[in-house]
Amino acid sequence: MEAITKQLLVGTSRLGGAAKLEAGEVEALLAQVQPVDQEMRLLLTAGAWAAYGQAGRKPLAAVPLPEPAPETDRPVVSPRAARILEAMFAGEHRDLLPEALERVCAAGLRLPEHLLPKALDCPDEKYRPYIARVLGARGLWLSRFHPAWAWATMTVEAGSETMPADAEEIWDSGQIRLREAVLRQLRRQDPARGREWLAGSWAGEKAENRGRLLAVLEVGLSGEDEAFLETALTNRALRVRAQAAELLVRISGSAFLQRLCERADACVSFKPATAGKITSRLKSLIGRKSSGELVISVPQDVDAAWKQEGIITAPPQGVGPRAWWLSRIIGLVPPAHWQERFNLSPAELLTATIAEEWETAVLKGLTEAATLHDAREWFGPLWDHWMGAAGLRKDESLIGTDRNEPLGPLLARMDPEDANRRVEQLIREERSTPFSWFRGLECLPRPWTPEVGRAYLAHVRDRLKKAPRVSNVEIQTLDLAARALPPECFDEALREWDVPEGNDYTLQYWRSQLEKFTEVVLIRQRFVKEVGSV
Amino acid sequence: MPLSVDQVLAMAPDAASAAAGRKLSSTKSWSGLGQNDDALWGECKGSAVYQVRVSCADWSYKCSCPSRKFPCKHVLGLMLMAAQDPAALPVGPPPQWIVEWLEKRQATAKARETRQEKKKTATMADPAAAARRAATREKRVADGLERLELWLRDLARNGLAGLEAKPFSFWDSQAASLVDAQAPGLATRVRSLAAIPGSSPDWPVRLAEGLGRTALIVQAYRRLAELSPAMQAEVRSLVGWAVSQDELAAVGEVVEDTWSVLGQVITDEDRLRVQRSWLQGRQTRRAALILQFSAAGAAFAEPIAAGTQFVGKLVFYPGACPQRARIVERGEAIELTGNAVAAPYRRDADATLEAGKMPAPLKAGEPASSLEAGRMAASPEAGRMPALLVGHDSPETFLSEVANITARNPFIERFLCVLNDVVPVHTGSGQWQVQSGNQALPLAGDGHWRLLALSGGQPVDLAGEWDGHALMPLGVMVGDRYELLPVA
Repeated sequence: MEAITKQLLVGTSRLGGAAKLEAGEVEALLAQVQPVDQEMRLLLTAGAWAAYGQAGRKPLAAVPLPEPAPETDRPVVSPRAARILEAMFAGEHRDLLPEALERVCAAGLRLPEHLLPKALDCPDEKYRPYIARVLGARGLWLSRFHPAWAWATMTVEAGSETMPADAEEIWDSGQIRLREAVLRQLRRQDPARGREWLAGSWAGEKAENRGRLLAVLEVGLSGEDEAFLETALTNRALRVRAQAAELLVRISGSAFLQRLCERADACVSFKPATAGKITSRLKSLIGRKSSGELVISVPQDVDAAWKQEGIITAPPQGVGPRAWWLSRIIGLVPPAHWQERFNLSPAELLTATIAEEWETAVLKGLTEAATLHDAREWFGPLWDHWMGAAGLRKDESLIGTDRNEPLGPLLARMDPEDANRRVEQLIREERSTPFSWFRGLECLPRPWTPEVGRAYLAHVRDRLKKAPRVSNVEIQTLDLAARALPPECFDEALREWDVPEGNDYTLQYWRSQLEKFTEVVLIRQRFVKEVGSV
Repeated sequence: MPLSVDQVLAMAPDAASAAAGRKLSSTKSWSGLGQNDDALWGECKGSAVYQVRVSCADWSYKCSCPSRKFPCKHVLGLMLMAAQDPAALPVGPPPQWIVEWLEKRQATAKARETRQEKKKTATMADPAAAARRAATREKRVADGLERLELWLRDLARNGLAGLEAKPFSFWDSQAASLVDAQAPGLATRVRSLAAIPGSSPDWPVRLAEGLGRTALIVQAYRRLAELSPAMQAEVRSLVGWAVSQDELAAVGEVVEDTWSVLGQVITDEDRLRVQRSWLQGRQTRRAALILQFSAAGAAFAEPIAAGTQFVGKLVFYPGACPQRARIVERGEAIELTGNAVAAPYRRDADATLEAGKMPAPLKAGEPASSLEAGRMAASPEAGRMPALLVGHDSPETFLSEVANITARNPFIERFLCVLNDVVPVHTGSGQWQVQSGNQALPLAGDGHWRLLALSGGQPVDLAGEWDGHALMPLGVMVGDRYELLPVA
């Protein structure tokens, strides 16, 4: 057949002489066909050989079989759940995947076989940790046949309690996410060795990875890490220096912490309240008893060492450099330092009078410090102070570029029950605070508690009823709520929404947002029904 | 609802319709939903309210929307909903428009029958006219073959190299000339050759084979008289002489069985979509190929869902080693699992029409037809049904069957291949094969990860389409279930 194909490829016009046919049998057949020319002879021979070839095909040789998949595995999800997941993998509401896969994992189930290639092909790295946990033994087995799926085994190993056997290999050549994971594990078991690994590869790390890997030293942090962190303080990248500083201040007795406290003490001092002072009397009139005054004196300029040690960055727009330095430095000092130094409780300290120009800087710094040092006894008083502080400036300039700072992280650190209660209260009270209820919702862990969900839905329904034509933030929160409402609130969320007739822009916006909202809630509801709300 | 969601999705004309259908598969876009033994119905609110109806008897459908896709997203949505959540469609009396539709369908069926009767008598009445028509067509076909042969000679003279750069029109104009010559079979063949140049590293061989086979058909047709009656029928159908329904009913072999639809391959050739459905009889183990054509995105005339089974009669087109068939009668299609028993079709079709009722499904275990009273009457209590997929134990026995068939009919180019206990293996660089013992068959295409996932590296029962070179897997048994595989 090949010889004939070659002749056909070239064409008889370029062949010169007669076409060469190899088969005697075919030749005999051709003798019966009249008239026959070169071209037809070639074509008919090709046709005959095609049929001969088809009849004479031989099996290929077998290759050694790979090890089959383990026989015992978790049960698979129901066909309906599988179909919902299939649509998500195909890109329909892909952002619901983490929640859905988490539910699959919690129910002790795994993905069905036919979805495995799609799941393993998932291009978006952020879903991979969730996928890895529901692949089951079959999925992991499958992933070993395709180089692009190697992430699966690595992710499972990196996320397990024990160190993977090929931890060093992952550390040397894995993706940054997996390297972080093995480093975290190693730090849990053997902090010194983890530090050595990082120190060993430090010089060769990409600048953007250094900060991420350095942050892992938070696990098992101790005085032994100080020397390495001090060297990181001299790094060129600001992010690395800031990260090193944040770790060093959490090592009690570190030289850096001492230097920092000395600098902070030079800026802040406390004058206890003396009877008769006008401000304190005024404050007691409106119900806030001042404990005294925090006296602030920030130097006109800061020395190079401050800047180098990562504390100082250029202030955001609209913030004076000195206020910025102050908030940065207070943000690093453990809040307990002030308690000891001034012998005051958090609540007492927060009632101290502060000159207006420094007030927000101090408050913001303290909030950041409480979050950084996990100073839980400060969380409640700080929150109440921000929310209740009468006369607190509504100016958000110090809040920085991320509009959720610094209260968002504080909320996220809080005991979930406390956090939920506080946000619920914000929704119910409907008053203007420096940190709005919808920002609180963004920071809450998902899914929300049923209480928060109900308060939210009641509030939004109320707004729709009372002022449907007023453009408002509630409409924009529907996107978030559709994904964060807990299963307990699904029925209430799906109850008929009464958008009045009319074609105003706002009404149409309500309608389109509510339609999307309902669609997402319905998908989640169907999935929960299939997999269980575990 | 005996159809599964996968089967409904398989009916979608394209991925966009499937996605749109999925979106419409929740009750919120619907009103007036309902079902009974005969039909599913509902009103879907789109830019207007559309009345959507689906017959339970054969999954034919109608929607009042102006979409030119068949089935449209509304029909798909309704069927998906019924598959996912049958309770969403309450059982109840049909609204007037459904009653009218069903009545009209019956009337049309009757009318068609009468028309056929009339035609039959008309043909019988004037055999001379029929002979004249046939003679005219013979002349046209002969001229068309003349032109085709000239074209083939030109190709052989100028060489196949460089054909990959030729536009589709190069092939299409030759195909169009064959359509004019009333040789549609050869026209389709020439169009399908257009896809070969440049499609794979071995395209010259494939094209040489394709052109060679075409030349063989031309030769064979010229010397038709020398062939056996069976081969005559075969060659005539390859050229494009259709076998009329009456002729088929008169000469075609009718086989009654429970037919499993093991897979479906749909190819798009310009404006023409060709659907190949591979069926296997559970009793007779007979392989059947049902070919359907549709132009310009229209629906295929006979709705056949891959991954279903039905009790029914197929009539095979005459030829040597008949393979191509069409459905004569059939019962309700149900999911293809080892244990499910398909309901029989009602024998007395007239009684069915008079009563205005479609056949009710039988309960599993009840003898479904006289045929099943024998081997298949097995109720779940009495023991398991015969295995769903029974085929060859080794690649070698399959290939020798291919050799046998080819020896009797060299024009058959595609075969249903059912293999038991084979292990799919990725042999590297996108090459796949299925193995049994020390033998293997190559798989067509390179994306068989789903097959590997389903097998878990264990031997599986597999159905596929063999094209003389490689096997395109169509489906695989997973436990008791037959899982369809994506056909590339």
